[in-house]
Amino acid sequence: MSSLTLARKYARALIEIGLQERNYEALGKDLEKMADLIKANKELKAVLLSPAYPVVARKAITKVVTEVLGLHKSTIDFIDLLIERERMDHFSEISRSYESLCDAVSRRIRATLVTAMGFPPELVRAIKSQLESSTGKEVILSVEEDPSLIGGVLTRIGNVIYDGSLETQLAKVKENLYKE
Amino acid sequence: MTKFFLGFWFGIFGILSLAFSANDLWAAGDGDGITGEVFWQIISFVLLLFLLTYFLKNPVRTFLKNRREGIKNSLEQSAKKEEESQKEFENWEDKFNLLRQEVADLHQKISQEGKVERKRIIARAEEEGDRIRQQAQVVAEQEVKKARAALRKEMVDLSVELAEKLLKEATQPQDQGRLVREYIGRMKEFR
Repeated sequence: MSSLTLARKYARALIEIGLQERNYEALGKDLEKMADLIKANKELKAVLLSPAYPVVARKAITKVVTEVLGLHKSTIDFIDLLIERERMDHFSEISRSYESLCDAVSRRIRATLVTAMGFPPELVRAIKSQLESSTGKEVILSVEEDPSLIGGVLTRIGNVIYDGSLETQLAKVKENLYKE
Repeated sequence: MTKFFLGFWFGIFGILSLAFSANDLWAAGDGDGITGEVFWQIISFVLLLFLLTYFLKNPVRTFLKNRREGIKNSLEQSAKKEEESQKEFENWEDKFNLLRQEVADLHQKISQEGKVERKRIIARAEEEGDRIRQQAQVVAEQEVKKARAALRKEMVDLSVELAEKLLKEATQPQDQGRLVREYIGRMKEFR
């Protein structure tokens, strides 16, 4: 079973619990917090992912950490399950899959706006509003800067790119000139 | 044959008669005539002739007969061989004529084939020459096209590179704002 398939399977199981408890968004945030902590703390990661440490010891460590982070009981149980089944190495992938499932349940999408240089926030809002209008879903928009675009912007939603950059326009001009 | 021997003996007696007659003549003249010695010599001679004739008659006859027949056979065989030779000669002459004709025909045929082959080779050489010329022309045209394309590509690359450089230098925040607004305007088409 591939990592992605496995992650989706566990994420689907957790979101079903979240939907029953009506706190799937909160559980998503819990997963995000835990994933960020594991990513930031290499020692913690080494302990949680290593089968060399006893399951009981790892669960004890997790209990302390989750209490500090203030995670929900369902999340703590879920992490304990992953430790028992030696699936903690897929945790970040499970967190991303859960986020995707949450977005789908909440009818929202994540988009990235890439810009050659900074521009007024009202234009960012206008783009977000236009994207929501076009897709009919709530859009969570993150902004990135990339000077190689020369000018203009592009929006990436999943695998789809709406390109309005000068770099692409120049590439098209170049292509047309080759053909002529 | 008997007649022959009779004739022969008559001849011998004739000679002897003549000899005695001659002796008479000599005796009538100043000669001394045939002496007894001469006479006996003649008799011995005649007797020798008789004995020779008697003993050699049959062998000589057989020899002569065989000789005659041999010569006759030889003549016949010679005539036959001559005839055969003549026929053989005529036969060879016919063959020779036939061969000469064949050689002449062959020569003519080879000559004609040579002419045809020469024409064919010339035609093929011309055809090959045309093909090579056409091929060279096509290759030359392709090379020219390639060179033009490479030149065009280089020109385009340089032009676009220059344009990119100019755009990077010239694009200001207000231009970016204008580009974003245009982009927002086009977003309605994204559905």
